[in-house]
Amino acid sequence: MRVAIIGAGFSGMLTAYMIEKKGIDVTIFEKQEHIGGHCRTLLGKDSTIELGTVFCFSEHIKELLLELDVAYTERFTYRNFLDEHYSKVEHLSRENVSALTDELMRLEQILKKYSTALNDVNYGQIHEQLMVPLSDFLKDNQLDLISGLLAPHLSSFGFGDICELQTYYAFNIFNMDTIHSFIRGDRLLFVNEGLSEVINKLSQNISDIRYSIEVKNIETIGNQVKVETEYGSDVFDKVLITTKLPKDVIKDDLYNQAMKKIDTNPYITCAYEVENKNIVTTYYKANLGKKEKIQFFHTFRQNNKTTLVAYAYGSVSKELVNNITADIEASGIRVKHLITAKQWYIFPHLKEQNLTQDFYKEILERQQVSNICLIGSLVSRPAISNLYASIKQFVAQTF
Amino acid sequence: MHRDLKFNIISEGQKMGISATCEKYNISRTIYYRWLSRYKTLGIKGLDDIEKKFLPINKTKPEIVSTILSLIRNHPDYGPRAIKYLLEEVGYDISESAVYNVMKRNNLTTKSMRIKYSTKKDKKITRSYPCFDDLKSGECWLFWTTHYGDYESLGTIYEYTIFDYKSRVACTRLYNTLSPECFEDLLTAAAIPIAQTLTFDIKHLCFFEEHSIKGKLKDSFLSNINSIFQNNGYEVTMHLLKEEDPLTHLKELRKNHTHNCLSFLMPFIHKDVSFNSLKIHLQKHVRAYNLNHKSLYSGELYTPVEYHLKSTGTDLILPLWAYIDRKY
Repeated sequence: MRVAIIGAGFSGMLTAYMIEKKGIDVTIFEKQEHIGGHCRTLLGKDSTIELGTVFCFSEHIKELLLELDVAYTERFTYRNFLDEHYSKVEHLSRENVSALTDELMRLEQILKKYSTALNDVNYGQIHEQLMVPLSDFLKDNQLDLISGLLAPHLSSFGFGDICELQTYYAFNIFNMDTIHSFIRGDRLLFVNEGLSEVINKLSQNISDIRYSIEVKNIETIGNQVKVETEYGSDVFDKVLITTKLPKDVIKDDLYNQAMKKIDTNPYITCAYEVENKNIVTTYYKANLGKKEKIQFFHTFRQNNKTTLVAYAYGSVSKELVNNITADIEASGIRVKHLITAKQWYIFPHLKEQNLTQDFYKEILERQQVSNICLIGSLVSRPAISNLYASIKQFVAQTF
Repeated sequence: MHRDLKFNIISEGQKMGISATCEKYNISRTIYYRWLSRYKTLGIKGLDDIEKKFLPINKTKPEIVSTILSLIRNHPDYGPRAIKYLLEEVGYDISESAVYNVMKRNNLTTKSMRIKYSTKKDKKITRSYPCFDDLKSGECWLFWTTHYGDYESLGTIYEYTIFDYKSRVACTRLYNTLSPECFEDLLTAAAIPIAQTLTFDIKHLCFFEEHSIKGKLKDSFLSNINSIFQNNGYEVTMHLLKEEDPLTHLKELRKNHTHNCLSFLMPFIHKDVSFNSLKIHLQKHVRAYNLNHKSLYSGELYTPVEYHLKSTGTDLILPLWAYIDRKY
């Protein structure tokens, strides 16, 4: 059996690793000249900077890290919030805390109705009531404080504005356990040498990785699938797609339509070296969800050096990067220099006009019979730990 | 060896005979010919020491190196083999030669060098106590553990407290064992978040002498704590207080706090509650103490948090977790 995987991000690499371990021939095609996708660590003397994904929830991923012998640390993330004048404020005001507790209890009751759909590792059939934007859902259920509670975390996953994001996606990743865990400020898991280390370790066990080779055409021929690139073509028994492909690459109506509908959010990260020693993850409350505005920054302090990574929706431009720098400086941070500004396209999802209740169900049903499958964050919530669980389940069921 | 000396040896070998010269300088003929061929191909530069640009994959991990160094500090008279056995006891299985190489890299191969190293003072850890009169609120933490007793249903209970000397803001948790891990949990889950929230500028952490959690790994425990502080942007001196220091006022603070916690907990302990709910009860109690319990500060009544905010001119901005129960 021969399997092709399109995209060498975390999901693609992990799938290839798991399949090759089963003794199956696997080939990965990566459009870029480097692997890892959103797992991207910048290395330097005395510093490890996560430019893409920063942390994992601990639940499933430790199993993989132990297997790969990758060192990790579980640590607390301390969070601050700033208002529009860059003054420190509370996440939610003190007077609202007891009302929030009440809202959380009500939310838990409300979500129970949808719990089977929301707790599955993959997206699936969507309940009609979860098709509406999150802001409407919360308003209809009189859960005003929940939006303030979730807004910073939605931003850190690149989910965008709560007036646009469907409720289904929001509560898929922010189930009650995750919400409570964020409120308690539980430990999160960080890979000591950076998430690129996980990708490196996976790559050491994968025999056939093709770099800078863009797939142009994927077509079923009889029982097999032909994969064409700019330089030639090859035939496989199964093709697994982990990333959004341009329209008409997949010669299959259902998948091709799906690819046309899947959107991503443009997101940029700017990494800086700064002078301050004692700073913590900081959210800009007035900006949350807004385009071209700094959302928050993480900081890493290693060997007497502080690096800061700031995030905003939008596309890299001189103006946006300068605005982000100005906002950081206005919050009392002394910036030494910019290390990099990087463009991402994150959170594959469908916008309101494209999403239908059975969109994911149809895809999952098609995977049962087709030799072409969509996996990873195309069909599952985009958090490392969940992707691991989803891929593990897929490999166990398929191979 | 410097390149000029290598050059002299090569030239001498050409004149006086290679075997005789090698014997004189106590080098092997292999080395001689290696130098010679490097000189022939690269000139005098070829005799410079070659710097390896890569890190060997089996390089000893930094945490093992720091453990080795702390063991050397405690046992300067031990050689590589004895240190290797001590490492095994704390769960590191590395070879005697790896230990020797660490010693070599740190110029600690002879006993006299190691003794000199072990007596050198670590500025971050001291046996003197800070000048208590000059301290500001949030600058000096006291740490203690108190044995609350052994109970059939709950096991052994220890109170762990990190206590700000000036403001009397307290972080207290209960654990079943005395261990560095519990201290680290208290520090990273409660004390540092509180320090970040109330913008404490922590400069001192005082350990009471009788303190038993440090055990065998005293130095590596302290250096681990030091790196936690550094990674959070604090430069903290750790003071190991001695019994004979004039510490009556510290002991008084400790006694009051422990009495306050214990008298609150006793009814629960006797009501047979679970250890987890006992922990949550105490968490609520300590929160109420920090935010609402007024006591005298130079003649005026404040709560610990109020006193800190007033004396440092800080606004109170609490994170959400400060209002809720956090299991640990």
